[in-house]
Amino acid sequence: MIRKKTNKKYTINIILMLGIVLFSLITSPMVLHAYENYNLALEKGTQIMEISDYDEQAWNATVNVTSNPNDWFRGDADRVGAKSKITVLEWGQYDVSTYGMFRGLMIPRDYLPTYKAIYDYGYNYTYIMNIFSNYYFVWYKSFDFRSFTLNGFSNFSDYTTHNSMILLYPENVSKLLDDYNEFATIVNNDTVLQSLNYSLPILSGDDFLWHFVLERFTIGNPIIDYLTTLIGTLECNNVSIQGNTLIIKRNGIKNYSAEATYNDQGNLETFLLKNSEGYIFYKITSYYPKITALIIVGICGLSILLLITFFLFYKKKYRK
Amino acid sequence: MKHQQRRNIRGELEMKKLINFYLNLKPIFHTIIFEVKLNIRKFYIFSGFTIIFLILTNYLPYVTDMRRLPTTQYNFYVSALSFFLLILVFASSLFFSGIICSDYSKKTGLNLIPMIKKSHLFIGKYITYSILVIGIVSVQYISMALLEYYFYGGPLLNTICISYGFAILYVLALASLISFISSFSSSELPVIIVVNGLILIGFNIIDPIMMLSFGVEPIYSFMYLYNLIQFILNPDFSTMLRYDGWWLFPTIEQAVISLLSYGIGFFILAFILYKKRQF
Repeated sequence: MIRKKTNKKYTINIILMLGIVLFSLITSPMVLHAYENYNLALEKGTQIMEISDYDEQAWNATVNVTSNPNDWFRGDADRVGAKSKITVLEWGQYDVSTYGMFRGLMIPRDYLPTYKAIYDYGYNYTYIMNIFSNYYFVWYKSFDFRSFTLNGFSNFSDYTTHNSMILLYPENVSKLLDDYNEFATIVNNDTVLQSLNYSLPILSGDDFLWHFVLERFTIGNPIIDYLTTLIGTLECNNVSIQGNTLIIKRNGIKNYSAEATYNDQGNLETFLLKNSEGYIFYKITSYYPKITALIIVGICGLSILLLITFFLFYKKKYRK
Repeated sequence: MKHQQRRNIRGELEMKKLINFYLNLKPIFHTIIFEVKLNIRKFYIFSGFTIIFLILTNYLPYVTDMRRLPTTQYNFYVSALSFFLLILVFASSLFFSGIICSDYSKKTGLNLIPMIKKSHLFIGKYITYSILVIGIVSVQYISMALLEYYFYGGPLLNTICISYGFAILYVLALASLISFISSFSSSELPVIIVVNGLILIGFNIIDPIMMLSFGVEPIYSFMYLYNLIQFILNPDFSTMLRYDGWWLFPTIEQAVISLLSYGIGFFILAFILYKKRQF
C-alpha cells in the first residue's frame, strides 16, 4: 500500500515537472515578444537564390547601358542559372548605437571604403555618438553568404560570417535616416574631405528602401504591417505594397518597376524587373533545400511503412 | 580426340572445385542468415538510437534556437560525429562480445560444432556482426548527410566518403579487438565492460600521459584514431596542423597501418584461440 502511494506520488511529480517544462517552452516566446508589434520568424538553414531570367538587351534599353546586375547583386548575377546561398546561423536581439546603425544599415555597400577613410580622418565612433547618442533596438541575423556563381559552391571552408540588422521598430527608421543625412551633410561640407574627394550620399526614403531591398535585409512579421510601417515612415513616393510584395517604380533609360516579394520568414523570396509594357527582363527566384530533405525523409518513411505493412500482411496470409 | 577428352576432364575438375568451394562457403552463408535473423532487432534498436541521438544533438538544438548553427558543414559533421563514438563502441561491444565466449557459456557450440566447422562459424559470425555494425554506421552517415542538406543545401562535402571508409576500417579493427578479448572471457558482460572501459576511459588516461610525459604519438589508441574520422572531413585536411603542443590526429598512412594491424592481427589471434579452445 505504502509502495503504491509512493509510486503514485512519484508519477504525479514527474507529470508536474514535465508540465512545467512544457509550459515554459510554449510560453517563453510569447513572453519575449509580448511587448513587441513585430516578431522575427527566421529559421536556421539555407536559402538558395537563382537567376532565372535575364534579358541583357532589355536591361541595356531600360536600366542602363553601362551597368549590369552584378553591380546590384554581386558575383555572376548577370548569368542565368547562377546561384547564391545564404545560410542563417543565429539571430538575437540587442540595442545598437547610431554609429553601428550607420555602418550596418544605412551606408550603401559601395561607400563602405569611403566611410572607413572618413572614420580614420576623425569622424569616428566618439564623434558620431557625441552628436547622435541614440540607441536602436534591433534583431541581428548572423549568416554565411555566397555570391551568385555558375560554378557551384565550393566545398572549402572559405565561409565568412556576416551580420545584418532588422529594426524591431521600423517607425524609428525616419529618425535614423534624418541623423544619417545630417551626418552626411557635415562630412560633405568638410573642405579637407572635399579636397580628397570623399563624400557620402544623401539618401531619400526611396533611395534607402532600394538599398534595403538590394542588400536583401530581412524584415519582421507580420510582413504586410512591417512593410507598410516602413514605407509610411520613410515617406516613399514611388513605392506601393501588394500583399507581401513591394513594388518600386524606378527610372533608368526608361521607366521600369522592381518587385520584391518577401516570404513568411521575412526574407526576400523573388525579385523581378519589369518594363512599362510588363515584360520581365530580370528575375531572381529562391528555394529552401530543407523542403527537398523533408521530401526525401517523407518518401523513406513511407517506403518503410509500406514495407512493414506488406511483410505483416504477407506473414498473416502465410500463417493462415 | 585426346585433347578433347583432356579438356573435358579439366572442365569437370574445375567444376568439382567450384562445387566444393561453394559447399565450403555454404555453412558460412547459413551462419550469416541465421545470425542476421537472430540479431536484427539489435540492429534496429541501435539504428533507432543513432537517429534519435542525431536528432537530439544536431537537429533540435538548432531548430529550437538553443545553439548556433555551425559556420561550416565540416563543423556540423564534427559535432554530429563527436557522440557517435559512444554508439559505435557500445554497438560493437554488444555485437562482438559474444562472438566466441557465448558458444562456450551457453554451450551452443556443443550442438553446432558437429554440423559446422569452427572456422566457418567464426567467420560467419564475424561477417554478420561486421555487416550489422557497418549498417549502423551507414545509418549515421546517411542521416548526417540528410541533415547537412537540410541546413546547408548542396553540395555535400565529398570528404564524407573518405570519413565513412575510415569508419568502416575502424569498425573492423574494433571488431577484431573485441573478438580477441572475447576469446578469453567466459561470458559477454566482462568483455563489454573491458572494451568500453579501455576505449572510453583507459585511452583517455593513457594518451595524455604518453603524449606529455614521453612525447609519443598515440597511434595505438582507438580514441586518437577516431579523431581522423572527424578531422578528415575538413576539405583543408591536407594543410591542417597535426601537432599543436598536443597530437590532434594521425596521418592517413598511420591510421591505415594501425587499423589494419589491429584488424588483421587480432582477427588471426582470435581465430586461432577460438579453434584451440575446447568446449
